[in-house]
Amino acid sequence: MNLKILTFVLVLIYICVFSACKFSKSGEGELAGSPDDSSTLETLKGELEILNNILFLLPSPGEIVEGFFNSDLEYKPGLVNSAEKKDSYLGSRSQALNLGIYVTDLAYLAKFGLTGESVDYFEAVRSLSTQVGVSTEIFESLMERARTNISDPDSMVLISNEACNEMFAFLETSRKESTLAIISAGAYIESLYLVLETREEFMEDDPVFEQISEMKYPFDNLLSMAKVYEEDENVAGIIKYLNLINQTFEQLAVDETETTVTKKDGKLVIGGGAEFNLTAENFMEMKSAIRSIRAEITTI
Amino acid sequence: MIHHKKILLSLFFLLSFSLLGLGQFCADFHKAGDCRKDLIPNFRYYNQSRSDLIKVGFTVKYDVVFYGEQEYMVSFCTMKNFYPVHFKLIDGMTEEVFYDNKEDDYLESIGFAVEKTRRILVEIEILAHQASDKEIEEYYPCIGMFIQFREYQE
Repeated sequence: MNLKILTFVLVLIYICVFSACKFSKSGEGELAGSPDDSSTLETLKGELEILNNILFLLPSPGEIVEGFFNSDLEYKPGLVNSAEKKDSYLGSRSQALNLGIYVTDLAYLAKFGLTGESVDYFEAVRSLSTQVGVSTEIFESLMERARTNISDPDSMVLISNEACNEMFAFLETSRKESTLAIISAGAYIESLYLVLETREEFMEDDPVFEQISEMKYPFDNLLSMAKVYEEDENVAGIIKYLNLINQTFEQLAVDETETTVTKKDGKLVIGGGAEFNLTAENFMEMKSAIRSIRAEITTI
Repeated sequence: MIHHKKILLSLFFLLSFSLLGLGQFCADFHKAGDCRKDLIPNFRYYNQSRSDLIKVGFTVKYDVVFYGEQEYMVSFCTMKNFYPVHFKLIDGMTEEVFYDNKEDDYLESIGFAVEKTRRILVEIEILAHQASDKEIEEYYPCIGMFIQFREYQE
C-alpha cells in the first residue's frame, strides 16, 4: 500500500468518525432514531454504571442570578470580584473556585446591562477556563459575539449563559465532574454573596429573603454532587465551605404542610411541602459566613 | 502490508475511542431528538434538561430542583425502537411517587405546576417494546429529558 492510499484511507476514517459523532449529537438525518446511532462499545458500559447512581442537577448561575435580580433587587457597585485579579490565582482549586465567581459576576453584570464590564469578565472566564482545562475553542465565537453585541444587554445575558452552558457541558463530557463541582461551588457562593450584600437589613415581607431560603435546595444538590467526588482532594477542600453554608441553612425553621397532588384543568399541581423561613438572625449569620468564605477564596 | 494494516487499525481504534470515550454521544440529544416536538411558545428552556446514555434494564435518576409558583413541561425522548419511556416523578425528601406515566399508557411528557420549591427525583427507564433481542443486547441508546418552564398561571 503506497503512501497516497494510506493517506486517503486515513482521511476517510477521520470523516467517518467525525460525521458519526456529529450525527449522534444532533440526532438528525434520515437514520435518526435508528439503533445505528447508538453505541455498541463495551467502554460505554462505564457510563451506565455512573448512571446507576442519582445525578444531582443544578440550576445554572445565570438562572440563579436571573431569579434573584428579577425581583426588586438593585445593582450595587463594587461587589463583583475585580477581573484584574484573574491571573493571580494559582493552583487548580483556587482557579476553579474563582472561575465560578467570575461566571456569576459575568451573569450579574450582563443582567444589569453593564456590557463594557461584562466583556472584561468574559475575558476573565475565558482565561481561567483555559487554566482549568476547558478548551478555548468554545469561547472564540462567543467572545466575538460579545464584542459585537456590547450595546445590547439582552444579547449579553444570552451569550454569558451560553458560555457557562458550553463550559459546563465540556467539563461533563470530558469527565471533569470534580472541576465542575468546584466551579459550581464558587458560582453559588458568589450568587449568595451578591444577594446578601445587596440587602443591608432583614425585612419580614421581602420576597428576596424567601428566595434566599429556597437556595437550600440547589445547595443540597451541590453538596450531594460534591460528595460524590470527595476523593478528589480539591473537592474535599471545598466541602468544608459547603458544610459551613449548609449549617446556616440547617438552622432555618421549617413549615411543613402535607403534599397534595391534584389535577386542575388536566394539569398536575403539586401542592404543599416544606417551606424554610429565614429570620433576621439567620440572615446576619449567613451573610457573615458567606462574606468570610468568599474573602478566603478571592483574596490573593 | 501487514505493518500498514496494523498502523491503520491502531489509528482507527485510537480515533474512535478518543472521541467516543468522551461520552459526547448523547450530549444535546434532548435539544435535537424527538423532544423538540414538544417545544411550547411562551415557555423557556430550563437548564436542568439533559441527556445521557441508557440501556434496557438500567434506570437513570435525576435529582432536579423545581421552583415554586412555576409551571413545567417535562418531555422524554429516546431512539426509535427503544420507546416507550417509563418515568416517575418522586418526592426528593419523602420518596413518595407523585406521578407514574405507566398509568397514562407511557405518555412521553408531563405538565405540572409546583406551589413550593422542591427537589423531585425523576426516574427513567426505556422499555424498548419494538426492539429485537439483539438490539436490546447490543445497543446503548440516548435518553433525553427536556424541561421547559414559565410562571404558573392558574
